[in-house]
Amino acid sequence: MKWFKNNNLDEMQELNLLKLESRGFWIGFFGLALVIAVQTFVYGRDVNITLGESAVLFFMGIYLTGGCIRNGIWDRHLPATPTVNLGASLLAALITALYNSIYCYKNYQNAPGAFITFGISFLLVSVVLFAMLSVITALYHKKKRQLEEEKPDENK
Amino acid sequence: MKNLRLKLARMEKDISQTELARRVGVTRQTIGMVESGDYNPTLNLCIQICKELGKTLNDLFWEEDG
Repeated sequence: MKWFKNNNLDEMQELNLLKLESRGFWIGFFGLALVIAVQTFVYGRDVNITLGESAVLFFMGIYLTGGCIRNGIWDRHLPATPTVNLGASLLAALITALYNSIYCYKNYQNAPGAFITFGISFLLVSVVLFAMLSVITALYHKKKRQLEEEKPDENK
Repeated sequence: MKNLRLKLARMEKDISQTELARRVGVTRQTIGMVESGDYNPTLNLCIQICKELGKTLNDLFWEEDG
């Protein structure tokens, strides 16, 4: 932030602070996810109670995703391919489906119902998430091409 | 501050930003930002660029007084 003219840190300290802030972000991100899970499963709170935490988590995700796409960044280790997107979608769908089916069973003690909830959640989330990831991947590739395109006057 | 010496050295060798980026293992965007002065490269990257362009660190990255 350029609100202040002076900087008390030298370049190495600045890098260290950036690393700390980055780790802090991830602690907050996963901390919120954990808080939502604990409130839902351990304390049996209704979904409405965790709306605030969910909203913050959502906006953190949007900010990070949007910022990365704008800068032509995907991931440190994983490529932006349909195979990886499918794997990520299935994994996220599995976690979401488990969450929903456990929540359903805790509230209604109905095993077949929980099983159906698992199936429907898994299918819906994997399809929707794969579609979303495909769109985001396309945007990423487009932005990366734009950024990598050499402008005509850069060779003059 | 723009690094015109880097840009000139690259053009003397008739290398595009994309090609230089490929040779030193970074993206074209990074080379572009180094040339425009929007990014301060690490010492390792400076050395890699100098090696590719056949120049010294002084030639390309030493700040001139005044």
